[in-house]
Formats: sequence, C-alpha cells, structure tokens
Amino acid sequence: MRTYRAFWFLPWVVICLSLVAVFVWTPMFWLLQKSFYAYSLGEAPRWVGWQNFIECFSADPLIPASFRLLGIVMVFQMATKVVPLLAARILYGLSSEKTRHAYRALFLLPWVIPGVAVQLIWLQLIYSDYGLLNRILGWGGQGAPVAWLSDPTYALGAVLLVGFPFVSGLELLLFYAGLSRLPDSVREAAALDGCRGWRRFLWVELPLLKPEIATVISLTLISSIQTYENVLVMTNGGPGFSTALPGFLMYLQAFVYGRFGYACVIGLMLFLVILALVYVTRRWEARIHAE
Amino acid sequence: MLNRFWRHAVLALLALLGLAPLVLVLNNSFRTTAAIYSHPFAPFFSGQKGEGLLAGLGAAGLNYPRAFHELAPYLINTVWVCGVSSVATVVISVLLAFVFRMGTFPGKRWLEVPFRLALLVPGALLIIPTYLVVKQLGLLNSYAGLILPYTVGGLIFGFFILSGAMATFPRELVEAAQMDGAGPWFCLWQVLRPHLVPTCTVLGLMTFLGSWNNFLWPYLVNSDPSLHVISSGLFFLNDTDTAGDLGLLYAAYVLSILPLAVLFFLGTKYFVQGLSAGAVKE
Repeated sequence: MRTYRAFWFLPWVVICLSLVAVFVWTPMFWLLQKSFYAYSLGEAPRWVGWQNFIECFSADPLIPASFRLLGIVMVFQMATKVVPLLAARILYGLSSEKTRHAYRALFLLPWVIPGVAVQLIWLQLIYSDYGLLNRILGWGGQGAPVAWLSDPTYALGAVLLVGFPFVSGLELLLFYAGLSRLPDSVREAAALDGCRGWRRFLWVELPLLKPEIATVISLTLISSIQTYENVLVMTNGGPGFSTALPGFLMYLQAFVYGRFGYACVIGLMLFLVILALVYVTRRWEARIHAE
Repeated sequence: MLNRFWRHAVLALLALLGLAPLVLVLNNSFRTTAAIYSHPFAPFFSGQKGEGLLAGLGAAGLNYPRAFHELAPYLINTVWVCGVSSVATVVISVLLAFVFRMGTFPGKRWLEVPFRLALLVPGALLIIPTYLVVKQLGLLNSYAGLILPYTVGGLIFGFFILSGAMATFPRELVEAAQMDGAGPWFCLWQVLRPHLVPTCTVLGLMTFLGSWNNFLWPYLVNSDPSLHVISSGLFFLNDTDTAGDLGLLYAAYVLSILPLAVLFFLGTKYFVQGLSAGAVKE
C-alpha cells in the first residue's frame, strides 16, 4: 500500500497536538509545578519550595486518615465484584440467548443513569428520616430514625452502599466475555472427572478467569482513587471528616479553602499512587498471561 | 450450578434490587408532594387519601410540566454540549487516525507519542490544573469550557480505537482503490467509511454518555445557572427553593434519566461494545 502525502497532514496533526498539549500536558505539568507554590485565585502565586509537601506528609492529620478511608473503600469495592462474577456465571449458564440479552440489558441500564441522579435519589429515598432504610428498621421495632449520612459510624458505609447490589456494567461484561473464552473441552474434561456445578466453578473455571480477575482488580483500585464525586454530593466529606477521601481533600483544598498549590500536591501524590498501581498490576497481568 | 428456577430467581432479584430505586422514583413522580411526604412508598394507584389512577395522572400532569420548565434550559445546554463534543470528537479522531495510519509526513514517529501517552493520564486527578488552564484561557462559564476538554478527552480515546480499526482494514482494498487513482478523501469516504462506521458510533456514543453523566466538571467550571447542564442542574434543584417540592424533583429525575435510557434500549449493542472498548482506556 502506498501511503498518502498531502500538504495538510502536518498542520492538522499540529493543531490536534496543540489541543492535547493545552488540555492534557499543560495540566500535567502544572500539577507538578503548582505544587511548589502558594497559589490561590486572584493572588500572585508565591514560591514556597517544599513547604506544601512537608505539610502534606507530616503536618496534615487529614491525609493519613483519608488514606485509611481509601483503603476501606478499595477493599469494599473489590469485595462487591463477587456479585458481577456470580451474575456473569449464572447468566452464562442460561440456555436461551434472548433471555441472556434481556438480563444483560437490565443489568447494564443503571450505567446510563447520571451518577449524581442516583446519589440524590438514594439520599432522599433510602437514607432520609422517612427513607426506606429507616422504614424497614421501623418495622423491626427500631424507634427513632437513624441519620445515616450524618452519623460518623454509618456515613462511609452509606455512601459505599449506593448502587447496591453492585451488579452493573463493565465487570459483568468482562467476566462474561472471560467465561465465553474458555474452551468447551475444559468443561468436558472436568465433567468426565465428575467435577460439576459449584466445584467446577471454583476449581476449574475461576482459576482460568485469572486474567479477567486481574483486570477487574486493577480497574477497581484505580477507579476508587479517582472517585470522590459521590462524597461531594452525599456528605460533603462529613460529618467532620469521616468520609473525606484523598480525592475529596484535593477538591476541598482547592475549591473551598482556595489552596490550589496544596491541592496539587495531593493530586500529584494520588497520581504517583496510580502510576505505581498501574505498574504493579501490569506486571502481574503480564505474568498471568505468560502462564 | 443452580437449577433453572434458582438461576432465574437470583438474576431477577439482582435486576429488581438494582432497578428498585428507579421504580420508586417513577412511582413518586405520579404523586403530589403532600402525598409523598405522608406516605413516601405508597403506589400512586393505591387509593390512599384520595389517590388513585386518575389522581396519579393528574399529579403527573402537574409535576412533569413544572419539572420540564425547570429542566428545559439545562436539557438544551446538555444536548448542545454533548452533541458538539461527540460530533467534534468523531470528526477529529477519524481525520487524525487517517493521517497517522494512511499518510506520511515529517516527524510522524515522534508526533504520535504525545497522543499515545495521554491515554495513560488519569483525567480525574488533573481536575485542578485543568481548571486553572480553563480559567487562564477565560473559558469559565462558557460552553467551550466544557466542550473543549470533553473533545480532547474523546479524541485521545478515539485516536486509539480508530487507529486500531484502520490497522485491521485489508490493505489490498486500499491498494485496489489507489490503482484506480483514489486520493486521500476518496479513500477515506468511499473505501474506509463502511468499515469505520461502527467504531465511530461507539466513540460518539461514549463521548455523549460521558459528557451527559459528568457532574463535577460542569459544577466547578460553569457556576452560572444559565449554563448548568442536567447533572449540575439536578444538584442545583436540590439546593434551592425547589428542594422541598418532591413531586417536581422526582419528575425531574425521570426526565434526566429518560433520554439516555431510551437511547440505550434502541442501541444496546453499541453500548455493550462501547463499555468493553472503554476498559482498554483506563
């Protein structure tokens, strides 16, 4: 095949590149650069050296607390992936393709609903004083309504529970594709050895799904670092700072306290955490694929 | 694993639990605010306190026009922003991928690197410096402040998947067209187009969906109420004097969900492909 040459190729690439430079690479560079400044809107940025970093790593008690919360969120999010795994397995076992597609559509539907709508709906319908949760507890004899989102004991759990039963979307499709990828001969061999049902799922299929499981784990970890919109909508970090995840602190420092430089340090730190996670999980995935 | 009955029971229960809040919202959108306050979970046709099928339709007749009146400006903004970003994303990505895959120009090898690397940048963490860039450009409180970042985000992903789609196109077909003297535009429009349409649909849909559902960015960048989009508008409705008007709010939720839900059922296939393709990006 002969490749084309035209006068507009290079200018066009340069135009696109400048768009990417302005909206991706400049922010990336500024994340690093502004970390060294005391920077608030309407004031001239002032160079402060490592001061923001020092405060972030040793003087700010909210940072370690927020990372503990992030740890809880990560463990919880990974645990919820059991649901799409089981749902995908059961779905895969259905014989009628029509039924499979119908269920799949129902499971995927929540994905097109704006997240903020879901969070606001849960806020009002499930967690308010007159909400579903308090109503159910009321039937069980519990008297006074619990303020789920303003009680530090429950707030984080309440935010995480939004989206119950956690079956929607990407994970379901990934696991489903993984199950369709497994050759029939594996299942037949297992059946010949008398391995069926739950045992076949646990000891034959699950180990073969390792690549998909690795992908889901790495996606979950990375996305849980980037998720803080739900906290902003539902609890605004509160009560106190009991739901203030690192991402939320970044938002808070910049847009509420007006400390953009300090917020960039938090952003940079999260960026490095993600980079490390990507590196580790890519290596792990490569090893799984090599097996 | 399970017998037939239990399989269906488990799947139906999961689907039901997942969609239950939506059903409650839909139900409440057919009830008056007073009725919702006194019995938040009664079905609208239950016949309690003067409620019933007809009364429900009457309440909906009051709720929906008012919700639409509040949401209409936001809906127009959203459709405008999402429409322009997704069309721009598709056009720019196609031309860019074409130039890189089918063309030659000086510096080609090196110029591709910044596009490829940008795929690895986690956008959600760049929200603060991107805000500063948009502010510096004077784009706060403008459509461009939303459209440009969405389009750039889309084009990075689009370049990636369209490069892939063009790489799998049979070279012989392009050669045959070239024998007949096909220039670059003819090649793109007449030879490649049929092959690229599905990928472009997926790309457009993903960009549309992503910008429709994005809340934090429009919330931060466009604080002017006349520029709110659906998501920031819903948040706003909950924060102002409409907050106590539950009938209106529930109708507003339904209105914000409906357009994409309809689109989803019309083209489930493309959404499924898009979701799977999106996994590569993250």
